[in-house]
Formats: sequence, structure tokens, C-alpha cells
Amino acid sequence: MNEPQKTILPILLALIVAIFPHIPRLPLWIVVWCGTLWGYLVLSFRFRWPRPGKTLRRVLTVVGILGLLLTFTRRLDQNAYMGLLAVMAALKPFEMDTHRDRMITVFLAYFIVITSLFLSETLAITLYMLISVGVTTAVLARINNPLGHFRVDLGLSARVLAQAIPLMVLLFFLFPRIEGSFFGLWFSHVARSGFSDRLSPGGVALLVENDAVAFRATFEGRLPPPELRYWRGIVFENFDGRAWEARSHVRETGQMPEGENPVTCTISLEPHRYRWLFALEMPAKAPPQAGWFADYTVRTQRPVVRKMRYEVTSFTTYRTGPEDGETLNACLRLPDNVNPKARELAARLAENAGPAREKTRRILDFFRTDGFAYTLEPPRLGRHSVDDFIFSSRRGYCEHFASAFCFMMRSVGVPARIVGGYQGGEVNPFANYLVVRQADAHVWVEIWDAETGWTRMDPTAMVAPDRITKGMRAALNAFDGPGMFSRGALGLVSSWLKNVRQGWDALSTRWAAFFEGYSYDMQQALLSKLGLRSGVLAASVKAMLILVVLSFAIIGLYAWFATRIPRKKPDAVKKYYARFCEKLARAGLARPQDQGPLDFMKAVAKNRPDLETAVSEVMDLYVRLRYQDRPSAGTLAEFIRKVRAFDPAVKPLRQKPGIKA
Amino acid sequence: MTGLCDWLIDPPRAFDPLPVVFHRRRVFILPTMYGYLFFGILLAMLLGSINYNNNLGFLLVFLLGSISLVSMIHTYRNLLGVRILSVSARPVFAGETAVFRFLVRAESGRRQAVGFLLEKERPVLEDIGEKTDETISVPRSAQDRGILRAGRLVVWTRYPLGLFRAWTIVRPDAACVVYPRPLAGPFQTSDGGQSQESADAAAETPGVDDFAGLKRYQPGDPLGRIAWKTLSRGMGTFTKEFTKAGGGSVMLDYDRLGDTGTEQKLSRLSDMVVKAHRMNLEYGLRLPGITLAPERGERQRHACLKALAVFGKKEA
Repeated sequence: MNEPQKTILPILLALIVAIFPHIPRLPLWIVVWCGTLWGYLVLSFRFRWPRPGKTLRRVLTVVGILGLLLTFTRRLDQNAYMGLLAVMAALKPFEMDTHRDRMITVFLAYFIVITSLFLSETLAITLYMLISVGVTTAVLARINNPLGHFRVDLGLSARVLAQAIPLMVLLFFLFPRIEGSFFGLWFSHVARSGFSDRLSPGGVALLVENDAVAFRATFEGRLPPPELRYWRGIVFENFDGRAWEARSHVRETGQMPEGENPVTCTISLEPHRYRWLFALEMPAKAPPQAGWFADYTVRTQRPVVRKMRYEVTSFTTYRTGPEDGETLNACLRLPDNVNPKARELAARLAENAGPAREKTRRILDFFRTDGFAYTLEPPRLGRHSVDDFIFSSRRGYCEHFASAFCFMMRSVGVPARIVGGYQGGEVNPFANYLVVRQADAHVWVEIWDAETGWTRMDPTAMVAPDRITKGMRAALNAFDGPGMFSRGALGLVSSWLKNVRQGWDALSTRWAAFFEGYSYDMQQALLSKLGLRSGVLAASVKAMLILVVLSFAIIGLYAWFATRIPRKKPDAVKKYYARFCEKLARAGLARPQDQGPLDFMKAVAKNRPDLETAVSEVMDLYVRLRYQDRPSAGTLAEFIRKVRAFDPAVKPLRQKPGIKA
Repeated sequence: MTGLCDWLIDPPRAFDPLPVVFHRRRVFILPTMYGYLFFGILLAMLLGSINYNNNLGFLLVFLLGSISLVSMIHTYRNLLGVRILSVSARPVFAGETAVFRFLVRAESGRRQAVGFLLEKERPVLEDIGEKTDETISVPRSAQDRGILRAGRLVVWTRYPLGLFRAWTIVRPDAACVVYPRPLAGPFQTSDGGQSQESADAAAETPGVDDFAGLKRYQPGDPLGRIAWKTLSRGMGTFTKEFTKAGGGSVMLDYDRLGDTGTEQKLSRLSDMVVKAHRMNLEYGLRLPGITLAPERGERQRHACLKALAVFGKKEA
């Protein structure tokens, strides 16, 4: 591989890895643009195609920016910014002749990685980010070490990452957090999702097709049974003949419901850009971040644009307090001249019925017994939507049933209103929580009963009980026949996939509970647990000081040990050879500095023939240890033993018999 | 910036005795331009993360910040403990490039992409293997005859991430003899014209040189003498050596070169020494105050050329 190829291809890899999570949000033409340009670049190495010159590159830049301007004429938001980065990233690899160009391009890759965190803070994105940073760092190492191999760079990057993570964790926990923000949120990428304040025909069906998570609810104790999992969010009181609307102004109030069987759960709400929060019906009081409203809903001060966690306690058996006349009147109001047949039917059903409860029972019975069908694809309804539904189509889903039921109740003089929210949720077997998706969107009715207050009535449950107990898919199957995922091998695969998805979701939720929730409050709690309380200095200032000291200590210690030049270990062979020479020197046989072992041996043998055998043995071992490529394991031990045993003073008996005798 | 730093940390001082070990007190480190840019980006991201209270943003900023700090230590360690064992340089002619050959060694771990630079001339980037003696050839242009001091050697590295640059400055006591640039011309000796003529004839007739053999290429050998055939066969780089048998004894005399300037005369003499050596003559050299008796061979060639190189210079 030639020189530019060795750096350009890794840089390309870093850019692709960085841009990958953005692909779903980028306009198609930008994806094609990047793919084409990068594809051309890679193939141009293979087939020696010409690289575009300066003029062509400028033209392409102008074309790209024009394309961006045309695509994002309406608003310059996060996606436009991302698009600009992508268009630049597609062109930049064509001009990477200098080290400077290459460095800037790798920084661009880092920048794109950073941008992906504005998408979401999920565990998946976090893990992907780590990998992405690892790859980009390896590429940075690559361009700074053109002589090495990319594999080595990847290893190095992994090592650097592993060494950096402890410091990162420390900084994450101790770096002072502030409450709120400096400049407010400049722009937010979160689209409105979920319920709007207007329930128009077909609205819920649109939601039901969406598999996105609306929120997750973690319970402290046992999960409530499926038929009680009604998540109250918004109340629709005004009916214009076609759509139901929330009242424009609802009072904030201090009036709380009474009830039994309190259930506490922590809800992690995905941002939906509305103010209402969802809570299990009936919320006992508002979470601290929100206000409590007279229609028994919980709303925040500002639209929810970030993932939000709140704890809410609900009564599964409840009694609401007295209601003011204005609200009750509003809940009886119907537009004139619509649905005459439905009014007539309601009047006939409610004839001679005594209290509101009896009227309700009769009308619900009508829905249960009169052969209505549950489907997500009902025929279109005309101007008298309730009449058309009850007398001709007779097919629909929660919205139709709730709308018709509520209309009929009002027409017979029972205050009734529609409640929007979610019903059900997928139980995660790995953790004690429910995942509620947009597909679980549901509307039901509550009627005013002088004894119990507002009382939940769900006509959909009459028509399709499975919808409430087993979820929408089961309810649809009961009416439409088995769906595609219900039988055989596909069923197995889908149940396995479901397991994997649920396991992952549990993990992500645990992560989110810890990670996304970490903020000013949690930091303060952590600091006070560590024994740092605000005194003369704020706790976070103390934390900062500790952080600085700790970081310096860690880096300093690491630097100290890591940068020490290791002292050479004394070499055993050398040591014992020196001792051997010393012994000989004491016997008057000093080795001249410049004499090698073999010459020295000859010299010794000449002076002291009696030592020849012993010296030559030691020398032989020494030469083997020093110069043999791989001396056998026992050699060193034997050498040491021989040197220790060697004593030039001891002379063999037979040579000096006279003295001994 | 670096100039000021260099001056602050490296005031003019005596030569460093070899071997030099790059220990902590020798090795300096500062962020590079890209390092500062990187920290700027991190700061912007940190402000963004604080503003949006985005924990993933915090995490990423802290991760990248920690990576850069860890890379600082890696950069520092890449240079630390490297030893310069010796330095040598073969003589060159003025106008050529002197090559200082540094013998370096790293005991602990392989060192990647270490740069060597003499007096801000042409940098060399090399890896240093673990526990192997590596020869790093650092070029330095030799403009004038005389003794070329190696001067200040900067050894630096930006490995691994290019965000920091660690460097050390060494003043090795090394010098390269720079012979005067040969200036072609007639072959004038202090002997009789006869000898001069024959020498002239010999000098001006190319191709009379006898091919004596090949020797292994060493940096500084003239390009024209490289044995391209062996190189192209992949047998290694060799230099062709020529000799000429026979020839008489000549004396090359400074004073016989007429009234041209000193440098020109030295250049002429340089040329004549080269030619005389190539023809395998027995030649001597007479400079004002110095006389070298006629001899043959490589040693004589060097003695004469060195005498010419340092003629009139203080270093002599």
C-alpha cells in the first residue's frame, strides 16, 4: 500500500463509523452523496482513476451547500448542521495531502461522534460512542505513526482508552454540575409525538402503528394487573361533532382524589414536546416537577424536551372529590343537529333507567352485545360520525367506541368525557418494569357519578376484552385471524427476538435510570454521602478541589512510575563471573581488563596446571551462558554452583603430599 | 514560541558526553498546535454539555480529555530512556550533504516515529526497535570546507496522537570533515612538465580507470559510482571502486597555482588530490606551513583533503 492510501482509508473508516448513527436522520441525497464520493475515492486507488482537482472540489462544495440550503430551507436545525458536517466529511478525504489536512479531518470525525450524543443518551449510543472514539483514536495514531501497522494502532487505541476510562469516571462524577442551563436550549430536535390536545378521527390509529417507546414505568412493588394499567395523560372535554378537544384552560388545584391501594412507580418519559405527564390512573398527587390540574391530570411548566424521570403514586381504587358545575356542564354539551339516530337510540336504551349508573350499564351492554368489531382499518365515517359508526360501519377501535359511548352518555344527561393515554405495556421479565409504546395508545371514557365521582368506563373492553388484558395485537388477532408472527418457526424466532429485545431494554433502562438521571441533585447527594457538605465553600467547589488534587495525584503517580527508566537488573552470570575472577585474583591470578575468557583460561592453565580442569569447566559454562543462543535451563544453576565451590587455594592432595603428612 | 522555549531550556552549553540517556530532566513536553485546537474543541463541547446538561456530552468530553492526558504520558515515554551511544560522520565535499550517523538504542519497549533533526535542517523519522542498536542517519548540508560540527540535535516525537510533542536537545561532540569543493582544471604539480603532461593526459581521458571491485555503499558515496546493476538485481547497494596501477610521484603545490584566491586554489588542489588518488599516483601536498610527503592510498587522500579542508581555519 502506498503512503496516502495508508492514511486515507483509515480516515475514511473513522468518518463512516462516526456518521453511521446519523444515517436515518440525514436526507437520502446526502447519504448517496457520501457513499458515491467515498466509493469513488476507494475505487480510484484500485483502478488508478483521476482524483478531482481543486476546481472540481470547489464546484462540488458549492453544489453540496446549495443542496443543503434547498433541503433545509424551512428551518436550520440539528439535522441541517449534521447535513453540513456530512457534506464536508464526504469531500474532505479528497484533499489530504498534508498532515494538517489529515489532523483536521480526524477532528471532524470526533466532532461528528460528539454530535451523535444529541440524538439520544441510550446505552446503545453510549457503547457505540466508545467504539467510535476508539476507532477515531486509532486513526489519529495511524496518521501520526505512518511507519506502523493499523492493527498496532487499534491495539494502542484500546490501551489508551482503557487507561483513560478511570479518569473519565472520576471527572464524570465529580465535575461540578449546575442547575439549569446557561443560554437555554437553542434548538431542540425532539419532534412532537404521542397525543395532541385534539383527538381527531384516525388520530389514535396513526399512533398505534408507531412502535416507539412512550415511557417506561418501574414499580416498587408488584405490577398492577393488566386491567388496571390505564395511564392517564390528557382529558378531552369539548366535542365539535367531529373531534374532541382538551379544554383550553384548566385550573391548577389543590384538590386530591381519595383512594386505596397506592402504587408507586418511577416513570421515565421520552420527550414528546407536550406538557402532560402520564401516570397510572388515578394519580394521588403530582410529582415535584409538575402541577396538579382540576381534570386530574399532571402537567409540567414547560414542554418535555428531554427525557424526564419522575416518581408518582397512584390509587388503583379511587374516589374523586366534588366537581364544579361549570365542568359538569361542559361535559354535557353536544353540538346541535348531529347524530340524531344515536341520540334516539341512547334515549331508548336509557328509558326508565334510574341513576346514572343504570344508564351507563345499559349503554355498555349495547356495545357488548350488538356485534361490533375491533379493527384498526375502519371505513371512513361521514358528517354524523357516531350515527354512521353505530348504524352502518360497526367496525372501529378505541377512538370510535369511546367517542360513540361518550356522545350517547351525554345525550342522556350523564356528564362524560374522554381520557387519553395508554393502556397496558409490555412487562419486561428481566426487571420490574413496563415498557409502554405509542402502539399502546388508548382512549377511554369517564362518567360523572354523584356517589363515586369520575368513574372510568371503557367501551373498548366490552367489544374487545383482549385489547385490555393481552394488548392490541391479541385483540386484532381475535377479530382478523392469526397474524404472521403467531405460528411455527417464525413464532419461535420472534419470541427469541422478543427475549433479546427485552433483556437489552432492561439493561438500557437500568443504565438510563443511573446515567441520565445523574445531575446536579444527584451529585449533591453523592457529595454529601462522601462527607462533603456545603460550608464556607460550596460542596461542588470542594469536589472540584478534590478532583483537581486527585487527578494530579493519579496522573502524577502514573507519570512517575510510567516514566521511570528501569535500572538494569544485576545479571547473575556477570555477578558470578566477577566473583570467580575475584577468587582467582586473590590467588594471584588477576585477569587483565582486556582479556577474554578463553585467553584468560589459557593463562591460568599455564600458571596453575592444577586448576586447569576446574577453571575450564567454569569457563565453558560461562561461555555457553554468554554466547550460546539459548543455554539450557540448568546451565546457570550449575555455573553458580561451580563458582561457589571453586577455591583456588585448595590444592589436590597428591601434588603436595609432604605438607599434608 | 518554540524558539523561546528552546532558548529558555537550552542555553548555550558544553557538549554532552556520549552516551546520552534521555532521562526525565532532559525530555520536555508541550501540546502541539493540534493539541491546542483539540482542547479548544473540548472546551466548546464542555460548555455545550453544561448548557444542555447532557450527560453523554460530559462523558465524551471527559473521555477525550482523559485520552489526551494519557496520550501525553505515552508521548513522553516514547522518548524517555532512549540512549545515543555514538555518533560518526564520513567526510564529504563542500556542497554535498553530510550524514551524521547516530547509534541509538532503547532498552524498554519499541519507540515509534521518533524524529531526529540537526540544526533545523532536514528531519528524519524512524522507529527504534527494542534492545537493538539502530543507526539513524541525519543529514546536514555542508556548504563550506572545514570542520562541520553536528551542532544541536533535536530528538522529538509526537507519537501516538500528535496532540503533544516531547523533545530533547543534545549537543553531541561530533564533527564532519568537509573537503573543499573540487574544481576541475589542469593538473599542476611542482615536478617537471613531463609529469604534468602525462598526468593531464591521464586525468582528461576518462575510462582509463581500472575497475577494482565493489564495496558496500555508505551514505556520502557519489551517486555516479553506485553499482546500479547489482542494485537492480536486488543484491544490495554497492559502490564501484577504481584504481589505476603504476604512476609516478607528484607533489601538489599551493604556491604553484598562480594568483587566484585561496578558496579557489584549495578547490583546485582538492580536485587534483582526488584525481591523483584515482590514478593511484604517489602524491604529496605542499601548503604554506604544511608539507605532506608523497604517499599512496586512502589514508593519504584523507590526510591531504583534510589538510586542505582545515587550511587557515581555527579548528586546525
